[in-house]
Order: sequence, then C-alpha cells, then structure tokens
Amino acid sequence: MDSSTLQLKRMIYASLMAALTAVGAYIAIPIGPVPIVLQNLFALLAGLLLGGRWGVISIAVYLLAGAAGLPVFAGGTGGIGKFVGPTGGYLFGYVPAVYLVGMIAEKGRGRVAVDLMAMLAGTLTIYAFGVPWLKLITGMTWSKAAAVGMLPFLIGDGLKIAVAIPIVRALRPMLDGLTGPVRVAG
Amino acid sequence: MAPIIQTHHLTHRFADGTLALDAVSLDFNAGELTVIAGANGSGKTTLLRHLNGLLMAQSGDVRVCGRSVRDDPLAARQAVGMVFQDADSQIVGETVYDDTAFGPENLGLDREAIDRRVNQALSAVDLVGLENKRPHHLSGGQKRRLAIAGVLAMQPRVLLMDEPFSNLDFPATCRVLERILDLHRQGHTIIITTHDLEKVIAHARRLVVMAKGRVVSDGIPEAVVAGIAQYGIRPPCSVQLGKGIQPWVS
Amino acid sequence: MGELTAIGFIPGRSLLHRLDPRTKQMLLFLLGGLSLNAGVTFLGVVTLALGILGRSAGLSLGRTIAETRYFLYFLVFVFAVRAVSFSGGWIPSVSLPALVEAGMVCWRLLSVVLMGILLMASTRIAHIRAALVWFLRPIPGINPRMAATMVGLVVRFLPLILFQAREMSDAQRARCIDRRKNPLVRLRHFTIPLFRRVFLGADELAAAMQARCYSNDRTLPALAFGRIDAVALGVALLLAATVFIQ
Ligand SMILES: Nc1ncnc2c1ncn2[C@@H]1O[C@H](COP(=O)(O)OP(=O)(O)OP(=O)(O)O)[C@@H](O)[C@H]1O
Ligand SMILES: [Mg+2]
Repeated sequence: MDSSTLQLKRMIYASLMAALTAVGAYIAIPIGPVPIVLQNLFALLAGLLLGGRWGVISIAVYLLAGAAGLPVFAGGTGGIGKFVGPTGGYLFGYVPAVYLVGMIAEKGRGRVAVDLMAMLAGTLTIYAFGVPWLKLITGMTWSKAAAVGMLPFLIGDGLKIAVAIPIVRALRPMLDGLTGPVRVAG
Repeated sequence: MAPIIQTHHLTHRFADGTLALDAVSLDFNAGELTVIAGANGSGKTTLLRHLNGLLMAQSGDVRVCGRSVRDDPLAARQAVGMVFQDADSQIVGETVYDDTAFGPENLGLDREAIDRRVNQALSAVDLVGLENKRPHHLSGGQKRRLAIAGVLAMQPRVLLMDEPFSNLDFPATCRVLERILDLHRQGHTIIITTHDLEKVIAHARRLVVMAKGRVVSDGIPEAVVAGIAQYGIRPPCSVQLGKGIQPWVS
Repeated sequence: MGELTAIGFIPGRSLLHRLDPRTKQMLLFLLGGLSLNAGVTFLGVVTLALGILGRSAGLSLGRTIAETRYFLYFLVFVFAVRAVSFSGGWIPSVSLPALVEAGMVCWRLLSVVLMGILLMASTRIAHIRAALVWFLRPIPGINPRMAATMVGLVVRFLPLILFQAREMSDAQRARCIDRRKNPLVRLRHFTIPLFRRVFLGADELAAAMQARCYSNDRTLPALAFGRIDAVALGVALLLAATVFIQ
C-alpha cells in the first residue's frame, strides 16, 4: 500500500469510528435498571483500536461534528449547547481519555492486562472531567453530583471494560498495519 | 485507431494466495460496448479495478489512452470512471448534490463548472429535483443512478459498470439500462460485467467470458453465447428457445 | 430505515437561510455562550427572536417539540434535581427561589438547543463543512480540509450504520438473543459483528473515493459574507452588551 492509500484508509477508519461513537449514543442495551449506553465504550474502543493519535483524531471529529450542530449526541441532539450543558464534561473528557487509552494500549502491544489498565484509566478520566463539570453547571453538591453522574453507571462500566477485551482481540487483526504510529500531519 | 484500454498479460495474486487474474490480455476500442461475463469469483471485479489503477498489476501491464496506469494512476482514474457493485459503499456525499459534486471537487474545478457538471450528470440519470435528498433515503434504483451520476460528473471517456443490474426490480433495471444505452449512443466506451447476460447482451457487439481468472472466450455475442453454459453462465432465454439474441426491453 | 431524530435541512429563502454559515456559527457561539448565565430579559429577547426566525425558516412548533422530546425529558429531570432539596434529612423540600432558579437553568439550556436546531434547519451540510474549514484554518497542526471531509463522512455513514445496527439487533432477537441473560455475551454479540461489518466496508469506501480522484485539495462551497451578515452580527453584539449592562 502506498502512503496516500494508507493515509486515506486511516482517515476512513477514524471517521467510521467517529460515526460508530455517534451510533453508540443512539443505542442503549436494556440490562438492569439503568440501560447501558454504548457511547463511552465505543469512544474508548477508538483508542484501543486506532491508537493514541488516530483515536484522538476520531473523537475530535466526533466532537467537531457535534459542535457544528450535527445531531451526533445522545437523543439526537447536537450543537455547542451540549458542551456547555450539564453533560459537557463527559464529552470533552473523551479527548484525554481516548488519548490515554490509545497511548497505554500502544505500549502494551495487545497484552490483555495492559488493555484492561488502559480501559480503566480511560473510564476514570471521563469521570474526572464529567463529574466536576456536572457539579459546576447544575450547582449540585459533590455527593449529589457523584450520585447522579457516576454511581448509577459504574456497574455498566465494569461490564464495558470486561467486554472491550474480547472485542479488540477480535477486531485488531482486521486493522493490522493501519494503526501503528504515524508521522504524517493530520 | 489505437485501443483506448489495453491490458497485456495482466496477472494478479492476492495476499492470501488466490490467483484472481491469470495472464489477461484484452484491448478495448473507443466507443464500444463490451460485456464481460463470468461466474462468481471469476475475477471480473478484480479486472475492472486494474483498469483505473485501484489495483496495480503485479506482472503484465495496463495502458489507458496509451499511458501506463502505473505511471499515472490519477489520469487513468479521470479517464476511466467506475460504478461499483455495491452502490451503498460508493456514495460518499451527505446529499445527492454533494455526492455528485465529490469527483469534480476533487479535480479542483471552480464552483460554476462543478454546478454545471452536476446538473448535466443528474439530468442524464433523471435525478433532477432530488439534490437535497440524503442518499440513504433513495430507493435502490435511484442509488444506482446516483452512483452513475457521480461518475458522469467527472466526464470520463470510459465507463466501467460492475453488475449494474444487481438488486434492481424490473422498472429500475429498464431505467438504468436505458441510461446506459443513451451514454453509449453519445460515444462513451462502456464495459459492463455481469453473470446475467439476459439484460444487456442484445446491445453489445462484444462478449468476453472469464473463468478462474482467465479469458476463455472473446468475440461477437452470437458466436460466444453458444458454448457459454460450461463456464457457469446461463445463456439468455431467447437463445435457449432457439430464437437467437433478442433485446430484453423493446 | 435508520433515522436521526434531529431536524434536517429545510430548503428555503428565509433570513436565516440567506445568512452566511460562518455568521450563523458565530451567533450560535456568542449567544449560546451568553445564554448560559443570562437573565430573564436577555433570554426573553433571544427566545422571541428564535421563535420568529424559526417560523420564517419553516419550522413548526409541534415538530420541534416532537423532535426534541428526549432533551425535554432530560430537562424535566434537571428541573426536578435542582428544585427539590433534601435539607437536613430524607424529607424533600421545595422552595420558591429554588423553583425559579431551576426554571432559569432549564430555559437557558433549552434556548441553546433551539439555536442548534435552527442552524441545522437553515444550513446545508456542505456549507456547515465549509464554515468548519474556515474556522479551523488558523489553528496550527490541523488540516482543516481533511477534518471537514471526515465530518462529511460521519454525516454520510451515521444513518447507514444506525440502520445496520438495528437490522442486526433485530436479526439476533429473531434468534432469541433475549434468552441469553449474560450481559457480556449480549454486548459482544452486538458489538463485534457491527464493527466488523463497518470496517469491511471501509476498504470498499477507500477504493470508491480513490476511483473519484480523492485529494485533500478539494473545491469548497463558496461562502459570501454580505451586508445582512454584518447587520446580524452587529445586532447580536448589541444584544450581548445588554448582558453586561444589567
Ligand atoms: N481482497 C481480496 N483478498 C483475497 N482474495 C480476493 C480479494 N478480492 C477478491 N478475491 C478473490 O479473487 C477472486 C476473484 O474475485 P472477484 O471479486 O474479481 O470476482 P467477481 O468475478 O467479481 O465475482 P462476483 O460475480 O461474485 O462479483 C475470488 O476468488 C475472490 O475470492
Ligand atoms: Mg464482482
């Protein structure tokens, strides 16, 4: 594959991951009292599958599409309002989270323990941005913000981390050669 | 006149070891309508992908308008437009207009020229008035025609059509067929692949049969059609009934 | 067919339609940002203006409500959380100031979302993309055309993937996936085939884009910043100034 084809393919994979992340915002799997929304799983998978750099590009494209007003966020909304709204922190928390996941996973070269650690770090990073923002915007107390914005989702997050491992093991071979570190400016 | 496309001992083996093309040598003349027939997996799509530089010859070579595709794939892609087997993956624009404009935009034309080409292309396939529609809202036949429009807007000299009638119902097939024949009358060189000869064969002056990556038969349809069943292709009904080749639509 | 809930482009010639997409994005950022800590007067003026502009752009109230219903549920939730406090025990208490404050928070969020809907209804996606390129150009380290192309691909493939996801989940339900109680199994059976299908399409997509001579230096839709854009921005700035005077 010549370099322009490779670049085009990486670009397409990152775009499709961004579209999948948007699809994750639309789809909830009904398990237990709180349905599992797949958006953050798909966002973190972008990091695991594409690596740090292209994972971040993918999530940035997703956020950019949303910022431009396209309906890619949960419930079919979009627009800058989502960023400054109460759940905005989770959205821009994706950027450092995916970067972290991608960087750790690249170091691990497919080792399960490293992938697990990466997912854990990513999930925590999302809350590290999401919960304080929720508190700031809605003026709730810390305990209330955590009770509304974190505790109900923790079980689902555990499941997502567990399921991410077999998923990347099944999908990585498809992307082989496309996800290594790249120097071409994006 | 020199052929517009020439392949010479073209061979292609995929990474997994499949020999998809085996020493294919074919010349296509300007203005001709050629049908390439073959069973599933006989290498039709792989051959078409070499004609516009999406795949590069591993041995042998491909020339478009006398120039090697390997030296200048961009020129080959401009001269040779390709309608893919699966229209859904070919359509890249967010709306009908955007998709048709995708090619001309890549060529860096100015907006006026792009608008002109988009209008021409859309009216050539009867899609005027649907410019603002999202492609996933179109019917299967409309999608196929949009895929053709997207290629026409690049004003290629040669049109490659990979199974242009798959998944279409009877009226949609007729419409796509009429558009293809119009384009042929206007002087386009057209190469159609199919495993279902019925629909186009009456309009072609040449039929190429492929099997297992090789060209096994090549000539005027009346001559080639006789022994075609042995390659896994169903001869047209009219031939089976002994009436010779009859047009599918009147 | 996989359908997005938000309102798409409505062709027309209203004032909003004629504004440059860059102007509309700037208005969205400026007024949207200010709305988030604005008072009653500002919100009232903005909401009124949004109503009139939306009307002339061809949006009906009923449809807007129907399309934003998920967001409205969410607002109700925010309202309840803000208005009810558990001061000193487990007995919920509601006070008038808390109610007013909760109402204001919801109004602010609602007006920002309405702005987004109006933008989408009056602007073609190609123009949003062109505006994006213009805004991203000064930022170093970003290739704005590539970013815009990628956003375009997201828009193109989102409905298709959504459709495939629903089709797949229906097909699995038809084979009684509901009887599998293990959520891990269900998540896996949903995600792996979906991703695999999407990624397989990626190679075909790359070929289709190359066949049409894809390059990063593409012609963009022409944008024109005219007199009405200047007027609109001026009015918005004046309106913004009132926030600080209050
Ligand atoms: N990317 C690929 N990697 C490996 N093998 C491939 C690839 N693409 C095609 N092949 C193989 O090459 C052979 C020719 O495939 P090709 O798609 O050209 O057939 P076709 O004549 O177009 O068939 P159909 O009528 O089904 O479209 C087949 O055996 C196929 O399995
Ligand atoms: Mg084929």
